Amino acid sequence: MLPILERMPDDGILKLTAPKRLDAFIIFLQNQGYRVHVREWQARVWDIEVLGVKSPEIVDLRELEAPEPMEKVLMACSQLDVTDRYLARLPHVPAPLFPHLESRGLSWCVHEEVDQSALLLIWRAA
Amino acid sequence: MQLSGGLSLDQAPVLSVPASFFLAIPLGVFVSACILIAYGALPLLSPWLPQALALTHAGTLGVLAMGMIGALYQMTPVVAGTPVPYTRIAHLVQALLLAGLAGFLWRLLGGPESAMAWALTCFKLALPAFLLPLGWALIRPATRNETVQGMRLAVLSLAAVTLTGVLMGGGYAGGVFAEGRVLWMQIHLTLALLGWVGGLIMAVSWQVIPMFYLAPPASKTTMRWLFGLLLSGLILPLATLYFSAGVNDHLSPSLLVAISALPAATVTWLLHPMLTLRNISQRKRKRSDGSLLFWKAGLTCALLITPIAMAALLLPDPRWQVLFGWLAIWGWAGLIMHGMLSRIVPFLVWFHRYSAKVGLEPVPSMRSLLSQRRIKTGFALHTSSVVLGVTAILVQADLLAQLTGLLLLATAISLASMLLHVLVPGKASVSGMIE
Repeated sequence: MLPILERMPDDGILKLTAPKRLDAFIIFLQNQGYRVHVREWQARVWDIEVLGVKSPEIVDLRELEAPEPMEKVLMACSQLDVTDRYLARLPHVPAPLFPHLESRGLSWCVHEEVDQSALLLIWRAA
Repeated sequence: MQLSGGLSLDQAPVLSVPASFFLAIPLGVFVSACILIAYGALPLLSPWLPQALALTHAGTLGVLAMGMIGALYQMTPVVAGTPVPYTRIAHLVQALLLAGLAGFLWRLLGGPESAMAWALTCFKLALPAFLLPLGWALIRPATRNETVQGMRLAVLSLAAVTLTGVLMGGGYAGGVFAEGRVLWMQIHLTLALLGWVGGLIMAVSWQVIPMFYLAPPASKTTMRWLFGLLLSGLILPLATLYFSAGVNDHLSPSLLVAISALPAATVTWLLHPMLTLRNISQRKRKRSDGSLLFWKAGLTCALLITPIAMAALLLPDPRWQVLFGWLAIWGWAGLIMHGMLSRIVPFLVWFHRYSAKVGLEPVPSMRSLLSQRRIKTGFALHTSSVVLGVTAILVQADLLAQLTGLLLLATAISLASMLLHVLVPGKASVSGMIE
């Protein structure tokens, strides 16, 4: 796992699925300066998110009805600089949002979670 | 993991495609109202009367099909991830359906046989014009999920419903009624209400209930079970019919079809409503929403349908059959569709007109495009017409049927006013701005 983490950029994010909580590993990562989010999806399925030291905070938009998550993301990304990253949790994969991001010169990467919510990373293409 | 690239705003159809279908819905409600006002309780006496068939099809073709076909054109590219080719043909499909419906109703209400022949020709042309482009997108979706499966099932059922309908309609066009008319009617009804309407309502609910109301989504396992049961309830009647030919002398073939459709009926009018109502009650942000009232009322209506369907099947009084049809078309499906229109149309207008400007200039919020007062007025009128219609069916009084017609008329006006208010540029007030 450590070689993968070494290759991860400082503003990157690593998603792991593990059969148990891996407490010792999590403490080790936190001591290294990583931020770690841990969730148990179901028995023996743990989701571990490792955020790089310069990764932005994850904005949680899951409690918003459509189209409010789209509004919030577009508002936030209108000021995004080339070096900035925007990370958000959304209630589901926001398919109608993607063409808007691309028309504004923004790149994105989305991960669909087990509960059908989504983790979205946006950055301005250099 | 999905990465950016290759997406365009042109993937969804232009707003005019779903909007033209949605704007035709009040016309269907208006025609239904006129039938009740003109004929009183006669269309509510027996499902076999031409006036009852006219009222039924004003509801199914004029109201439900308009909303469902419009929704399919809009949802398929978004949900399946594949654009529908030649979307502009949708306007031709709509023109054919409306022209066909006009001929169909004219014939049933005393017009010449040629009117029905015209109607059947229109429906035969509309089917491939709708099915081929939409089927193309649904056969090769970029995203495979349970909603896409439900949409496929609904579209396939629509094709079968149209073919069986055209077969039976020939009897009104100077031909002879197909042999085993009751049986064909039962198959037509099963595929229409359970496959076409039930399949699409279920598929759409899996998408929109979590998205618009923040209710917990149904689990994949639940969705697969419900879909499997629905599918089996549509295949089983045909299989039963084929294998039991000449074997069972006690049960009529139409009764066999109805009984073997029980898994689909259980899913559509019992399991899906119960699960959806439970999920709605567990939603994360319990904000007052008029469109949700329609969902709750429509799903509650669905729970009443199964016992009434049993009564319609087993009891000789034809009023049970009429009551079943009234609650299924104008209660369950009609209420859910009306509610979805009040939520989806503002969303579409907001998405098409304003979403590209968010963050770049002030734009109105979606909620400011349509007031809750307008939605709740539509809800009060629609539910009152459902209740009064039930009373009119049970009592068989002309005055009650005509009053139901007047309430339908008021519902049509309220719905048309709501749709025009949101769809016509500049009509909606833009009080809540996002800056």
